[in-house]
Amino acid sequence: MDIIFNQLTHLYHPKTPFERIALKDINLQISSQSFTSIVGETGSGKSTLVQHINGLLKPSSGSIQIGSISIDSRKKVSNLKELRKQVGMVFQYPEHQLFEETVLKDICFGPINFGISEAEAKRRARWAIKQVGLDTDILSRSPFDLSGGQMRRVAIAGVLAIEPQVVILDEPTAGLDPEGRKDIMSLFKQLHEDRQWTTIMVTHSMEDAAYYSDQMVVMDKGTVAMHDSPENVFIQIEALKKLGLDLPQSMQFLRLFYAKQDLKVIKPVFSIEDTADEIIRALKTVRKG
Amino acid sequence: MNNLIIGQYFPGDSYLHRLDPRSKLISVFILVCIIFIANSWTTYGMLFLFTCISVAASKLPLRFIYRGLKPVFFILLFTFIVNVLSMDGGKPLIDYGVIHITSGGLVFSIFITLRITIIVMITTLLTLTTPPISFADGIEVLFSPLKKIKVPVHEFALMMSISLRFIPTLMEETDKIMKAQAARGSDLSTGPLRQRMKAIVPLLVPLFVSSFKRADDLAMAMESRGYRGDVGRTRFRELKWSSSDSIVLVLVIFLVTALILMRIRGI
Repeated sequence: MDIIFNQLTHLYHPKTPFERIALKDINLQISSQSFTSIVGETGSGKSTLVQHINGLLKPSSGSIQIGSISIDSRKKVSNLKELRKQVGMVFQYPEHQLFEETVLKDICFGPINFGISEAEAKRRARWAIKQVGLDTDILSRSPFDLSGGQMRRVAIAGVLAIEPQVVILDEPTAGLDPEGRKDIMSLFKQLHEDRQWTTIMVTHSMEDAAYYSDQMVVMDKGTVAMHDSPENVFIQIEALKKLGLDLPQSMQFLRLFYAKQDLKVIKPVFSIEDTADEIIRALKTVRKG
Repeated sequence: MNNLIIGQYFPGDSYLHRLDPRSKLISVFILVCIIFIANSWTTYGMLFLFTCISVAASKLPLRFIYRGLKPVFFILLFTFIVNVLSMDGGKPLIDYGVIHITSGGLVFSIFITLRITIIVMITTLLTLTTPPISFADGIEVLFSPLKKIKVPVHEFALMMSISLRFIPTLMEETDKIMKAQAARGSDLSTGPLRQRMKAIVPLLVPLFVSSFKRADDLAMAMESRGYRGDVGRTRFRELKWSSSDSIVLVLVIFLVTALILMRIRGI
């Protein structure tokens, strides 16, 4: 599903002394089945932007189009449920939203709210719990008896069970250990491809944005500063620095390495594998020279 | 959620803002009690005038005082109507079927309405000009004589400041969890009442869980910084009684004496 922001502006506390512009005149098109990362400094409007996509926030002016559903500031949205069924959202620290007596019931909460039959919801729960790498035994346990990492996975399963087509991830790996981060991110990448999701991820990790996504949106003070592929974004080193953003560690390393070898070139390289290749290539040129 | 005015301190640097919370608390307490002595146009007029002067001295936008009055507007209207219809005395003004309105009843109803208005205005003024934390400090000091009879005043004040401190945090959290559950198809704001009541459970359970967890963390943080209760504890925020505090108290006592004298003399 294509997602189109059309001159969207969002104000917090409109018509009070505390009025603040959170998003200003956003024009943005996120194409179907892309993996888009949204980066930017704290307070640049990343979360506000994504919360418009499943109707949690309404634009103050302008509009947003998600597939065939359109939301603008005027009318009351009648098919909000239909929209939320198609747009799943994994919030920051999603484990905070668990509340049921058993894991099974908690995962079924979403599907049943959206009118899925109980049998089907249970089938989806079993599928979802396997997807997030947990054992089906866990379904009968209380979510509050689980470890933090397991709770996170259960909460994610709760969103998977809704079987959305668009998935919004708001810093999905915050507070996880490195191993957990990698597991969760590869899980999302895998599902993105298998289920043909349109994935939108808010993240502070330049590494994740560079490595996993095919499109990047750079936010700055409520506006879209850049919208391009990670390769084209991370080549603009000076512009990124002005926006308060770092390069991925692979590129930071290469940059320093090149500087010490008196080489000027810097290429967008994101994976460990590619970084190793790039170093070998650079060393060869140095030796030749 | 943002029009909740209780505990909403409005920063400023007026005469009222600079007063010690103790003098403000004592004054408000006395004024709220003394309002029940007033029973004539002159006495109500004096109290109302005093309130208006206080509002002016606070330099607050009038809008904020109005916002404090808004929630009780219906109570005011209701009290007024009930009293107008039920109180007798003086000349009959309107006599139509069940509706009896007499001049005495009308005057009395105006007095009652004025009384509630003044009480709400004064207390709103107190919370608007006093930061919640110094409010709690003031209460602790004022009630400290009760420590002699083993009332845990310090603990109560601490509980009060902690809960005041965490109101905004809790509201943020509520907003977040509401959104998270809304994204899973549970909606608090639409649908029939029964359905909405059911949608409250997925909101309350996570809120309880996180509140307990936060309380636990806070207790741990306090203990690790050596907190051991009231005994031998000095204060970071010292309350300072200045001459303006004395002046305000003298004014209030003067007003009280005048009101009592007028009541006795029947003015």
